[in-house]
This record gives sequence, C-alpha cells and structure tokens, in this order.
Amino acid sequence: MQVRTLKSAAAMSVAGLLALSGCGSGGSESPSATATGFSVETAEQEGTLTWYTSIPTEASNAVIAAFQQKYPKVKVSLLRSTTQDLWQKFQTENAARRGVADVVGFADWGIMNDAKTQKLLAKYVPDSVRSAVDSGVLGSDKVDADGFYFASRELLITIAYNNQTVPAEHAPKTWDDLLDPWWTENGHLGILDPTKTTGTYYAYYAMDQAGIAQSFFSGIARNKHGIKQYDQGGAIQNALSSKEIDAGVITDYSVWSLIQKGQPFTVVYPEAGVGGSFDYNAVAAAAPHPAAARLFADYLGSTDGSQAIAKALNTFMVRSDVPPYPTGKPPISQVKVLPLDPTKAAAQRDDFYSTFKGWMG
Amino acid sequence: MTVRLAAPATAPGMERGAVARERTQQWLAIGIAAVLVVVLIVLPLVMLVYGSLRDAPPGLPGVFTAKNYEILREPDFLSLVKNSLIVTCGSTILAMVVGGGLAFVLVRLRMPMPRLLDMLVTVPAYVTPFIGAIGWSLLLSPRVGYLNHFFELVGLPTIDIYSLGGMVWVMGIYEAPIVYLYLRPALSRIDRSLEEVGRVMGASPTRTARSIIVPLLMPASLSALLLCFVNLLGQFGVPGVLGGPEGINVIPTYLVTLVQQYPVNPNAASVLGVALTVTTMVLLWVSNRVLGKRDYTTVVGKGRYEPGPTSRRMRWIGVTICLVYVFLTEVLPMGMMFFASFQKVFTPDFGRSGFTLANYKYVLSYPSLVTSISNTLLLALATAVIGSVLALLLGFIVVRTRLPGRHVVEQIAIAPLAIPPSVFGLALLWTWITVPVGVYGTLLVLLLAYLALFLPYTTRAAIGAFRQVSVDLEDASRVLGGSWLLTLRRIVAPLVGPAILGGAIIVLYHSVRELAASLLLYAVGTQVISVAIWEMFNEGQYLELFAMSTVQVLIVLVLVLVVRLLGRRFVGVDATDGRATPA
Repeated sequence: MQVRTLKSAAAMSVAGLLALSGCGSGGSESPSATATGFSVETAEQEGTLTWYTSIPTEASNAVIAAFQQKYPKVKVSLLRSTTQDLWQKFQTENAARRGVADVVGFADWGIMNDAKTQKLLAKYVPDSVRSAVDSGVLGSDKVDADGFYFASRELLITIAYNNQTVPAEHAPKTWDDLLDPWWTENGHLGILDPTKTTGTYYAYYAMDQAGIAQSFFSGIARNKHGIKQYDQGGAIQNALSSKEIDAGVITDYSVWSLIQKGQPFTVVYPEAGVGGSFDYNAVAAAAPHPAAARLFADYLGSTDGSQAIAKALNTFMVRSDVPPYPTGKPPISQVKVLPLDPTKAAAQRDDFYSTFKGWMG
Repeated sequence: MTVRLAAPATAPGMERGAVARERTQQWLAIGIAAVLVVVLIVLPLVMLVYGSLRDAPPGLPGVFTAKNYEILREPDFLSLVKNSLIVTCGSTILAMVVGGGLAFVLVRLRMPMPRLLDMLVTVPAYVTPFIGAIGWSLLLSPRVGYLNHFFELVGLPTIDIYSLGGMVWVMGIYEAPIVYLYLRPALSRIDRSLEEVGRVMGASPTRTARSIIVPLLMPASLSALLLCFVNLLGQFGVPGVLGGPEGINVIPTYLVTLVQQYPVNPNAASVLGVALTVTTMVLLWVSNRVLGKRDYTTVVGKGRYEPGPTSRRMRWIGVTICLVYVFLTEVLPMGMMFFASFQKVFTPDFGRSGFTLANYKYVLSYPSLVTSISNTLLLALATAVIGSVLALLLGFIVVRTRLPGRHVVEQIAIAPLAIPPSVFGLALLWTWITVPVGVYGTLLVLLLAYLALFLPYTTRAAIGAFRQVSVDLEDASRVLGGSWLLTLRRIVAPLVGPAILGGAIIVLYHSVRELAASLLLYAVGTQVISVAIWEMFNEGQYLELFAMSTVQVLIVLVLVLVVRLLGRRFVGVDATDGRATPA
C-alpha cells in the first residue's frame, strides 16, 4: 500500500475549500465562468500567456499544440528550464515588479510552497481539478489545502540500463543488484545529483525514509570507476545513450521516451520501491493574462491536458483516468512508490545534502 | 576649470555667443558620457557590493550583514580557488604557447596563403567556447570518445575530458586566437632594420631575439597574458560542460549555481563576484604599473612586418602548425558535431543512428530559437554601433581634453575587462531589480550588459587612434571656422573611424558568443543563441544542439567573411580584428 500525501490535513481542507466555493459538482471539464471568475472569451481576448515549466521543450510544445487545437485564439509562450532556474527567474521578475509568467510549473513542493508564502501565486483551483477530486479521479491530497496549486504529473526515480552493454545475467532488478561484484568491478554508473535536480532530492529522501538510501548510495560509491553525478536529466540520458554509463539512477519517463525513439534501454521499478515527487502547477498572482492563465491551468488539470502531457512526455499522471504511455509501460498501480512527506522533506533538505555527500564520499 | 579642445576657444570668426554655445555642447557631451559610464559600469558594481552585504535576494526586504563574506573562509571556497587557479594558469600557459606560436609562424615566416591561414586560425575566437567543449567531450569522453577508441586501438592510454586537465586543454586551445590577435600586430610592428643592426653588430640570432625582439614584444605579451588570465578566470561555459559529471566547480560555475540553486543565494554569489573582480582589478593595476605608460594593447597596426626569405622546410613546418591547430579546434570537434547533427538518435554508433534533417528543421522552425537568432544579431549590432559612438566620445574626452578626472573615466571604461561576465550579469540583476524601472526582463538589460562588458574594446581602439591622429588637422578645421561638432563629425570621425570600426568588429564577435551574463539575464522572448544552446545542453537535446551549434558557427563564419570584405573594400581595415592595412 502506498501512501503519498502532501499534507495530512490536505484532503479535509480541499474538501472544505470546494464546499465553501460552492462548486466541484457536475464533473464537467469545461471551465465555467461563474466558478472561476473568468471566461474563455476573456482568455481569447487576452490572446496570449506565458508558461514556465521544467517539462522538456519538445514535450512542452506538444502540450501547447494540443491546447491550441482546442483554443486556437490563445497563444502560449514557453520558458523551459530547470525548476531551480525557473524559480530564480520567477522570484526575480516579481521582485522587479515585472511579472512575466502566467502559469508556473515547479517540480518541487518546497519551491511551490515558498512561492505561495511569498504571495506570488493566485488562489485558484481549476474546475477540471475540482471535478476530478469530486469524481475520485484525483486524490484530494494532490491539491494544495489552501487552493493555490495542484499536482499534475508524478516523477519517479528508477534504475535504467543499456541492454547492449549489460549482460542479461547482470541485468539489475533490485537496488542491491547494483552493488554486486560485477557492477562494482565492471559497471559504469551514473546518478542524478539531488542538490541540482530538485525532484531527485525528494525521491532520494523518500528512499532514505524507507531505509533504502544509505546502503545503496554508500554501496555504489565503492564502484571501481567512481560514480558520475549528473546535474541535469539530459546529461544522464545522453551518458546512457552514448554508453558512457551502463546504468543510471534516472527519471523513468525520460528513459521511456528514449525507448520510444529506439534506444535499447530497460526501465526497472525495484520491488523495494522507488522514490518520486510531483510537478505542481499554479497561476501567478501577477499574471499579465489572468484569464488565459486560468484557462491554461484548467487545461493542464483536465483529462485532455493530462493525456497530452502523458503522451508527449511518457510520464505518470496523477489523474487515474489517464493511461500510462508509451505502450509497454506498467500502470502506476503496479509500481511501489515510496511514501513521502514533502513538508518534512523540504525542511530537512540541507541536512540531507550533507548526509548524502557523506555517503558518496 | 578649462577644457582644452581641438582649437582655441577664441578661434577667429567665433562670436562670444558661439563660444559659449560650444562650451555648453562640450560639457553636455562630457556629461552624457560620464552618466553613461556610471550607469553602465559603476552603478552595477556598487550594487554588486551592496548585494554582497544584504541578507536577502534582490528586491526582497532584508538587512545589512557581513555574514555572507564567511563563504570566503569555507573549505569549499578554498577548493574552488584551487580548481580555478589550476585551470586558469594551465589554460593561460597553453593559450600563450599556442597563440604565440601561431603569431610567430604567420608573421615571421613567409607562408603560402597567409590571409586564408590567418582567417582559419582566428575562427575559434568567434565561436562560443563551450561548443568546443561539447565537441571535445564527444572525442575524449572516457569510455566512448572517438579519440579514446583510437588511443585504445594503438595502445595509448585514454584521456578523461571531464577533468581539470580537460578544461585546461579546451580553454587553452580556444583562447589561443586571442593571444594570436594581440601578438600579431606587435610582431608585425617590429622594425626589421633593428634586427639587422643587431646582426650586423655581430649578435647571434639568439642574442638578437633576447636583446631586441623579446623586449619589444614584452608589453604586448604581458598584456595578452593578463587578458587571457582574466578571461579564463571568469569563464563559465567550458567548466560548466566538462566539470558537471565529476562535480568539479570553478568560481564562475559555482557563482551561477548559487544564483540558480534552491534556495537561491545571490548574496553569497555576490561575495564571490566581488572577490573575483577585486582579484582581476588588482592584476590589471599591477600590469599597468609594470607596463608603465606603454600602450599595452593594440588593435591598430602601424605597418606590416615583411618576413625575409623562408626555407621550404620552415614553410612546411609553419603550415603544418597552423593546420594542426585548425584541425584540433575546428575540423575535429565541430566536424564530429556536424555529422552527429544528422543522427536520428544520439549514439556513438553512426551506422545505427540513421540520417535525418529533422534536427535542422527543428532549430530553424522552432519560434523561440528563431527569435534567439534575431535577438543575437540585433544585440550584437546595437552593441557594436552604440559602443562605437560612446567610444568616439570617450576617446575625444580622454585624449583631446584636459578635463580633470578624464583618466578616471578612461579607467572606468576599460574596467569591465577585469569583470567576469557572470559577475556582471549578477551585478545587473541587483541593479535593475533594486531599481525597478522596467529594464529587467527586456532586451535592454542584455544590451546594457554587452555595452559595458565590451566597451573596453572600442574605447581602447578609439583612445589609441586619437593618440595617433595629429591635432593639427582639427586645429585647421577650427581655424577655418568649423564648429566643434562639425570638426568631430567631418575630421575626427573619418580619421579614427577605421580603428573604432576594428574595435566594433571585435565587439560584434564577442556579443555573438556571450553566454554567462546572458544566462543570468534572459527572460521569455529575450533568449540569445548561446543561451538556447546551453539550455539544449542542459535538457539533453544533443542532436538539436549540434544542429544549432552548426548554425551558430555558420553565422559567425558569414559575419567574418562579410565584415572582412566590407572592411577591406570601404574603410581599408582588415576587419577580422580591426587591423589597419598598410597605407
């Protein structure tokens, strides 16, 4: 049984919030002017919006294209970067009183919560998200208790290896397999650096809470060839593609995308469980195009939007009505995702960094 | 206080009112120049120091504190300093040896196709160095690099490019053209008759070299050494590419990390920026003291050294040196990237990768990439033009007036030579967020960064040119009743124009390849090519990155060719580097 909570009180709070706002009924996915304070017409009059996201450019563009098929009069400008960089830009622009972003996506609960605390987010839960919570398609714990942001996708950190360089008999199935003598002597391993990629931090933290992290990381640190720590998802993907590493501790969706392009990789979801984090979306308080921003946020939370993201990115979505992509990927119900308390994780970040550094020598 | 201008204020035919009006114009010009220099350079540096003393990011409420400076005592900082010194010293030495060797070969030997070779060896100066780093990572990646495969085949040990040594190699060979561009005019200017006198007096070639050539080259060499050191100390791109997987940081990469990590710490980053700038400023100051009043830079040559007869063997050695250099910096790394840019999937196995033009289609059709190309060209052009006008004004003030403080203005204008671009980007963040007048987030903030960072190139060119042009011509114009502005426009500008144009061309190239400051300052719609490539690198879009890099290199090559042709045709400047062709 997996427990994935944002906050213990989240479910109750969201239920209360929905009740107070007097909406959430009906299950319709079309944004309603009365419930959300904007209309599609207003959004179309604004005609444009800016989206800050860490979703890779190619996938983001596919999502934008899908959105524009539905709302051709609303143009979306994209700023794609890492969550940390986006946060720096978002915070800076607000400090300069020159808000550019309309919709922001941060794959880090701590950052999203900081944005909320600094009053940089608009209080807004899209209709599509409300109705999904009502109909049980979306857990209420995926929506901020105060109604400022909602999760859309789930990023899991798993093992992936190159079938061409790893003999079948040494193909890893568990975390501990990577500590076997064949791996420590022959295998070239790479991992994501938790201090540079924020989603990775939450995953490693969850592994630590489950008692997996210490033995695993201090074990692989003894690898004869050393462990390469990549500060970007793209770098570790390319290391796997170029055969610089045989296996990596990496985001699962990125490897599924490479498999889809024809790379000879295998993704492993160890039975002991994998850590993960969520990608959160919110409308900026200083959004220059508030109606268009709400329309787009509504789309991101909808089945159509989630499906577009899942399809473009091969990522697990938090909505249960979106099937896994691509074909061959197991449903998330078959993956053991380790429990995570993001509040606790966000508070213990610096301590964990030091501990992790100690494990890796 | 009097300002001594090109002609006496009481030139014949000038009425009192005209004199007063002219004085006002001059003071206005001086005022504008001073304000611009202060806004462009002084204000950001002051804000950087301010930021280093605050306990909150720019724009957020905070209090003054000196606590941020504790970072300078941390063991991590000492390791940063150690890495930075190893990389900077190593790559500076390599750049001096390679660049000096190229200058010697191309100036002192009678080479076949000297202009072509000259152009080929200077191309790396105009390409973003981190593209070279990515190319070399394909060649010397520890397990799968193509060159490493070759080394294994012939029984040689393999090389890991993701190391301090790898950074030294890439930074050194791509900085070498800067040394070459500095030493070439200095070598060209050496009067052969001096050497001949030495030989006639019985000195051996070694003694002639030691007693005549080396002392004559010393100012330019020291100048090149210093500039290289400062450039390389502040370099971000190459260490960013090659240091990542092994966690090797140098000061500029750590500075950017502090700004982009979570939680952001621009205050500690500012401390690093202040420390780095103070170090480079001190180096500049020491160099000025050592070089005394000798003009230690030059983009303007007085003449061209005519090499004596060169043996066939020496010519071949010379050509080989140039071609090996071109092979190692351009053909090999960029050729690899060029071929990889047609792959369907990124793989070391070219046979399996297939062939596609999709990556080019992507970079030439994706809106923000198209915008990044137009932004880059627009910014480069605007920086070159505005920088030139400002330089003309500054050159005039420094050389043609006796205004107290003019040398301070000169020092301020060339100070950005000592400011690493990442530091200046951070300084501008502090400035234009704390002063929220709508500059941050626009192309204007990038323009301000480029103008300040590259002002030294045009200013020094202008000052050098003003010093070479006799004041008599201006006096003649004034005596004949020409106004100050007319004299500036009709007499001064055409005379110093070619030199300033030379400086402007260098600015153009620097602007096209700038990364570190742009990375901190770009926003939606203001991306430039180098930032787009950097983001592709981070995102792992290697194939698209290879295509985009090819596009950037092509743009630069076209620029070099066009500028060369136009320069030679219209203003008599060998415009790749602003060298004046012999009259």
